[in-house]
Amino acid sequence: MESLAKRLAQGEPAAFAELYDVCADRLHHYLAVRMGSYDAAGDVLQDTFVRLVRSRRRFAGVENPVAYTFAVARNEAHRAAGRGAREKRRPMATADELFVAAPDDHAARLAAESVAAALAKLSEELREIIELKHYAELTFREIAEVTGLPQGTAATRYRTAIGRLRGFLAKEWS
Amino acid sequence: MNFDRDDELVHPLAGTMPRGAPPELRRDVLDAVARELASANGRSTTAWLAWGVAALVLLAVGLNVAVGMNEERRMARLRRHHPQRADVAELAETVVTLTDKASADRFRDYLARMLPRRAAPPEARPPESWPQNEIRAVGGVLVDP
Repeated sequence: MESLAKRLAQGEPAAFAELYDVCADRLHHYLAVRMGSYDAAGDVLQDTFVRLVRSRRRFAGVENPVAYTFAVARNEAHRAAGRGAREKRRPMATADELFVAAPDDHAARLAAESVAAALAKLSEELREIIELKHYAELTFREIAEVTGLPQGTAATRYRTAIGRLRGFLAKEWS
Repeated sequence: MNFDRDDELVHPLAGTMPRGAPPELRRDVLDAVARELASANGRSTTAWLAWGVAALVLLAVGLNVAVGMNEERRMARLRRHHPQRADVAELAETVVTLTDKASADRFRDYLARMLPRRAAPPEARPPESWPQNEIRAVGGVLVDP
């Protein structure tokens, strides 16, 4: 069986479905945090896949289709943010938009709200690293591919972000 | 160096479960992908057609030029000389009108030498040298038309 990247480069519809299934949830969460809106994340996700189809021949030289998809999504989010720069947007998606918590699970709801609030306090760069590392489950090598940062810088930023999150959460829970 | 090791830290985000993409988004995205693939194939067919038409036009122009040149050569062969260039003739006329008669005659001589000459017609052979078979053939035609 041919590799996913090769099948994507050939424009095979099933390959795009496979790519969607592999990364859509993680990508949507990343975009929701980046765009500050659950609905806007869906639009950008769709734009990302249309963009991937248009430039599908580039997949032939891509080693890691998931990291490449995140990189394209990042560019699309940047473009969409530029388009909506004049619109009044929320700076951060709500806890309900970002996390799943049963209505009767108070601990989970509290954790979701605390983490959403703590994430909102981080700078955009640190929040992106947290997203890519913890929720999108990318390696630092993949994060370097997506963001263009050196691996070491990405790792340092991640540790800084985790430290700050821990500080914010400790303050809130105390 | 493995930057990905941070298991020793108690993760502050461990208690949260990220919300995924809405289920209906899958259908929307894959429909958009299918539409884009279909239109991309249509564009590709149109591009091939455009290239084909352009190639045919170029071929037609090339053939037209080749046929024209061939025809010109054929006509030149029939006339036994190359057609005189219009600018040379014009120059000769100008020299004749601008200089004295002697210079004009000299220039005309030079020009006459420069122009290709008509090939001389083959010399007529005397009837004694005609081959016998030709005499018989001509006689047959004259006697029995």
